[in-house]
Amino acid sequence: MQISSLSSAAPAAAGTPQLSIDGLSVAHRTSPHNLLVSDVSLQLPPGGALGIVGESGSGKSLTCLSIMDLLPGALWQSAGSIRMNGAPLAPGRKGIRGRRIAMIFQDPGATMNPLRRIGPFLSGLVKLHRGLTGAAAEAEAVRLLDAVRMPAARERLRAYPHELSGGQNQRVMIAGALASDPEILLADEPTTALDVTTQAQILDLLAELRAERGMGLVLVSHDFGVIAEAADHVAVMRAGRVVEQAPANRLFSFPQHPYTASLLTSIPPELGRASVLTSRKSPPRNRPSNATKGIGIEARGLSRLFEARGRARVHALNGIDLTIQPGEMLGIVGESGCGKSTFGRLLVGLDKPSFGDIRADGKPLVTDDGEAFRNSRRRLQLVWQDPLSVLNPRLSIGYQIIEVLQTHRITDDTHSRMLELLQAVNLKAEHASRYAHQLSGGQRQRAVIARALAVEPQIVVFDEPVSALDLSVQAQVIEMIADIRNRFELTGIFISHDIRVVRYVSDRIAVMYLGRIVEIGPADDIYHTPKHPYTQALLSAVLSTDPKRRKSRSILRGDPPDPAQMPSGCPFHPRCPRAAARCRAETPALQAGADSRFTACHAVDVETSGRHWEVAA
Amino acid sequence: MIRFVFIRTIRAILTALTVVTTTFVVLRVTGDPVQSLLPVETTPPEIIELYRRLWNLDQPLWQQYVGYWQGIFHGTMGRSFVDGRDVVGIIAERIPITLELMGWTFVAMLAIGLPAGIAAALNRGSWIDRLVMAAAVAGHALPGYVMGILMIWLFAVELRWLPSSGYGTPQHLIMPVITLSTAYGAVIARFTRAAVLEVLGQPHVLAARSQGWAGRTIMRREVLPNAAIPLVTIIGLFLGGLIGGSVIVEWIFAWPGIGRLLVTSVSGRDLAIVQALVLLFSATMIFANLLVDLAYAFLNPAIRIRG
Repeated sequence: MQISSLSSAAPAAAGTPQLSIDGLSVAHRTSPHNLLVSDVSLQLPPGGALGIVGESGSGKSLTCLSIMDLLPGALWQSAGSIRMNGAPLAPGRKGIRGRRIAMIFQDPGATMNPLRRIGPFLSGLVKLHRGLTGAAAEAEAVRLLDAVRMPAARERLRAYPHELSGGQNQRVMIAGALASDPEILLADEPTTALDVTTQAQILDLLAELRAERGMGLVLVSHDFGVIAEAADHVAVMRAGRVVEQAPANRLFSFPQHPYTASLLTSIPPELGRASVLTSRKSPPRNRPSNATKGIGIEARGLSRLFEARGRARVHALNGIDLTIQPGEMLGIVGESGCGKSTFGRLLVGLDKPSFGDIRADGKPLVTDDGEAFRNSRRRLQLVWQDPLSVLNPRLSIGYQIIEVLQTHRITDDTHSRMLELLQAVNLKAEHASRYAHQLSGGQRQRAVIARALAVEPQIVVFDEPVSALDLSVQAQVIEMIADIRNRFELTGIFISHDIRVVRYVSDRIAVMYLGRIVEIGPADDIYHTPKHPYTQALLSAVLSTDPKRRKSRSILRGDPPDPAQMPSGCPFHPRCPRAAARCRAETPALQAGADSRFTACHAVDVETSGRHWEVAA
Repeated sequence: MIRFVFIRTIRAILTALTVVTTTFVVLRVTGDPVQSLLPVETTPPEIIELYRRLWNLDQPLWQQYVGYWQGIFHGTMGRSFVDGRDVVGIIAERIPITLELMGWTFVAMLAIGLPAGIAAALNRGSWIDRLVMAAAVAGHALPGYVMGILMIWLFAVELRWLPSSGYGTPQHLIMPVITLSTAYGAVIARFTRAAVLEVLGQPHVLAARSQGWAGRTIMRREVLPNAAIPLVTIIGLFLGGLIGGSVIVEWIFAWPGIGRLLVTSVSGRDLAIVQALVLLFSATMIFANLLVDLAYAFLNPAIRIRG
């Protein structure tokens, strides 16, 4: 390892970066010329916030791990130096790791030892870094939980990670990082595994902590919105190199590098005018003609109960009434646990409703027995989030499609039909002989969609089809879905936590909260003029890179309640800024408004009807 | 937790009831034991009748079944068909002898398997890892009778260091314990390696390193307790299998335990003893499974709390 010589050990002069990376390269131990990070130089000014943004494989996380000397065993830092306040950091980072530089990670549930309670986790760190023991350490643990705005901090000490939500676990991880009062916090995709509303809470918390403590922040993310929200200096990485770095405002307003520019335009709100979509001005809203092959679906009183052992029954779905027109694409948004995926599984017959039914053209959509079952399966297809787990790793892509064609006796000329299907999803004939692991994430999802289309389905449920994909790939796959949906005349359900993505492909949007639809209407109307306070909060949690569009946000407090202990009245009232006495007592029903919009909210009812109710004392 | 323990215990009892009944049925449908015990052509019918009455084989099947259950509850399992001694007594005097062998085997297999597996995982890809894995394959692949006979030839016949067979002194234990624990220890080593590698790759280990913890603390607090959860399952199943797995080794080394008793009883058509031994083996297996379930719940807070 090359050690930068002659680094002055003099006290950091004003203007010396708090952290500086010079010419960092990371290579495989076995192939030293294959650089995963190549000549990266970055600087964090004292108390600043440096954002590193890039797609998967860009080397952003490896750069972050290099700061802590925590690269995976097969990799090593082949060149460059990393300094803190001008002094080079020694290998092993003794006295630095966890003490002067702390780090938080992507999936807070997985970064916590499942066998350790929160209390020992925090007081252990307090003891390690500050030498406090016993009651003093415990008091400090509570203080740390208070510092990360954890409600009921003292009671949390006895909780295990699996008893907390993702957002709460990330707060605990941040509390642990603060235990040593570090000078710099490294955050590697800290909100990627969280819901949008929780993401907004965590980003706000990080900003507040920075302001309170004068702590430097290095934030790694694939999401420009997150970076724009939290960083004041941004470096864009691609294939191991920094392609552009600039102050945040300048970078987002005037990107210099074409790669930055193309990434910025593939962010969903701008999809309509994205470079990949120059052929079309607005999202494809042209409803297919009446001759569509797609069928209409009618769900009535659809409920799904889960019996949790030793606990109350959980309503994953609670009386959903919904009509989907033939050839329509209905988008469903909501936070995790709102029931959107359960709804998708019911629609394709992977799960059965506890109450209510789903009909297509007046007949039950899914039947159980024999040949009828096979036929009903043919009409319904589901596309999952993670294509790698749904593709058979031991069969070629082409074979998997041909197998489907044969099973359902679609055609005799299976080979040419398979090639047509690959073409329809913009894959090449050569991909037919590949295996899943030989394809990129976007190509895999295209293959999954081609296989779903092989049975000539009438209804396709897309469950978070692009959430696992890189931004630039997301845009292409969304565009492809919009295209095949028209060409194959499908009735579609598009489920996502990202209302921007849903808006782009959907005709209508249904917003779900705790197993209910709280608002439904035409996609653009919901997006531009949300009426339900929950929809408004979801939209305000959407992060924009455009400083002009970054308005004051109304952040939801807390997490969705435990579905086993459903609040009385309107399920949203504990988090609702407009909650009144009536909301605690009465569950609002979906009420028709103007322009085929429906909203389940007492406050909205009053506005639309022009009446006022008296607030009960 | 209490609910979990309750459900698992009930389940174990139901399994035991099924096994007891199945044993009865299977051993009865394989034919009249008296006919296979006595030379039919030369035995006078009165003698056969006498034997049938002696073991209640003249009663209708349902009465035999009831009697069989009563025996189990009273701790009497009938008398040996061969020498007329009390079955429970015969087995009871053999159990400690087998337990002695199995206890040492259990200790030895863990003493070999756990450190070897952990060392292999921590030095993944190095010569240590390759050595351990090669030895594990060899140890697992070599059948007990081959290894036992090779050892007898080398240490007893050629070198004359150890007694070739029998029971009584610590020297008698060495070869049977090595034979058994090599095979089991090899499997434990492989499972340990896999379990430790699995945990080492988890984000919470990386997070603990980023928090500044020393390597040894991370092993003790993050890696080993989490790797222990799947290992306890495997080890518990071995515990149940050890009792039944004694048959070959006890025969080779003339170890007078229940494994050897089973072989002699089967070849001597001693139905009463075979029946009691099958129940004993099943009971230990069921009990070991129950222990695994309970240990699993105790180790894993996600089950412990919801239970």
